[in-house]
Amino acid sequence: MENENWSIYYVEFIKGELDEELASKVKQYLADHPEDLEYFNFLNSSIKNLSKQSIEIPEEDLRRAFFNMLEVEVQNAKNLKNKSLSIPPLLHQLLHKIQWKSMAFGSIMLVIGALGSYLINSNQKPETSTLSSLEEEINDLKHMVLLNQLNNQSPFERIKGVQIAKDYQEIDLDMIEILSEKLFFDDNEHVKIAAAHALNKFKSHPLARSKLLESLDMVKEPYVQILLIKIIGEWDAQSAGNKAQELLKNETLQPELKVIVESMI
Amino acid sequence: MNPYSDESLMEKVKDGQLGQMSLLFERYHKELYHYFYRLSQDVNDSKDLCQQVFLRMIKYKNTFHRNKKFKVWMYRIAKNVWFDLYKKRQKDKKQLKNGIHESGISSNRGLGDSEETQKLEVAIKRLSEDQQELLIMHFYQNIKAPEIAEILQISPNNVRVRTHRAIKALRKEFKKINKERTNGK
Repeated sequence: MENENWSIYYVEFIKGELDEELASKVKQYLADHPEDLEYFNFLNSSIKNLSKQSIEIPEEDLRRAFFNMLEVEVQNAKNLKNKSLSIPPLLHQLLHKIQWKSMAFGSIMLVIGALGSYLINSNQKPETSTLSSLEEEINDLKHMVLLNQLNNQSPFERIKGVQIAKDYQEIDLDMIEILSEKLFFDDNEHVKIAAAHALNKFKSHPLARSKLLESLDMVKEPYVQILLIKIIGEWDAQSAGNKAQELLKNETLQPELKVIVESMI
Repeated sequence: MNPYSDESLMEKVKDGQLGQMSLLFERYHKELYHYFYRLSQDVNDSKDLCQQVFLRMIKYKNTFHRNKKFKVWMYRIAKNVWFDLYKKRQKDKKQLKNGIHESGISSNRGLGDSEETQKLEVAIKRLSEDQQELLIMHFYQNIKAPEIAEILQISPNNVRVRTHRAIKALRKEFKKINKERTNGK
């Protein structure tokens, strides 16, 4: 190990990906090999320069192409499912496999019986599976439309998207996840506020409640924080109170907002 | 397992809930676009390649295994998608790589890049295809060496050695570019 060339670890060392033990070995190696310093500095500045570099992303084009593709794939999957449920190919396959001449009468009767029961059952099967596959598809499409709306460049459109979600009678896990992402990470405060209200509407759902509680630590905008304290305070006074106390300690909080927070405690 | 981890979502896609792919799209489309743009320096190619990755993830969803990292699996698909395009272009003699003029590198780049960064980019484009890919994974995509090893199906130490060589080559090219610019080339 002593003669090992630790310079191959320089990249990970600079990126902070090594554990303490390895990092100290690399550090020592660098101290023992001053001739490597120029190489190390070049690498260090290259990583810094390149990692902060940004490029424009054709967000709308990517999104449109993806959702079109997904729609086609959902449709294909549905067609495939229906096809595999149809009876003639199954019957054909079964009949093809049977060697009639070598079959005894009893076996024929058994096959006919089995086929009969298959036909009786199959009258119900496709209906139920078609229904559930339709439900699945509708659910997928609902998510797609909503995601499209929620990722629109215009904050107004995103708020409209949140409103659509809020108008649902029931909410599922995916929808909660999508709304939480808006509440945690959207660039626009109004979208965050709308998402907080939408999630609060579904506060009877455990995941919606846990996401709202999580947002107390995730959201940094004072106005949204205050709103969260207010709505969470209605069903979890302790968590909301703790956050309010924490917020009061924040010296950068505007005095008028401090007054509001104080009034909530 | 976290029900919203990449792996769980991909498992759901595998079970036929294709709509779940939209959450994975939200998480990774930017990263994939970056990857392809760094490799191809072409906006349209990058868009197509990005789309191809998501399509292949759906088509070949059964090749995903729960015990594997989703990100590694996705990058392996991305790498294959890139390789297919590259191979096709080579066959068509369009010379994708050489078709990208060094001056064109800045076409879609963010504003305010320093001269050093621009020179580094040009230097990277002068490296071999494999070396470029390695440095892009390390520097831009921020993928760790053990993950790169899984994507490239080589050992982590092999990744480190190859990266070391690539950086040496990069430094050489960088010095050359400095010299060229000083001489007014």
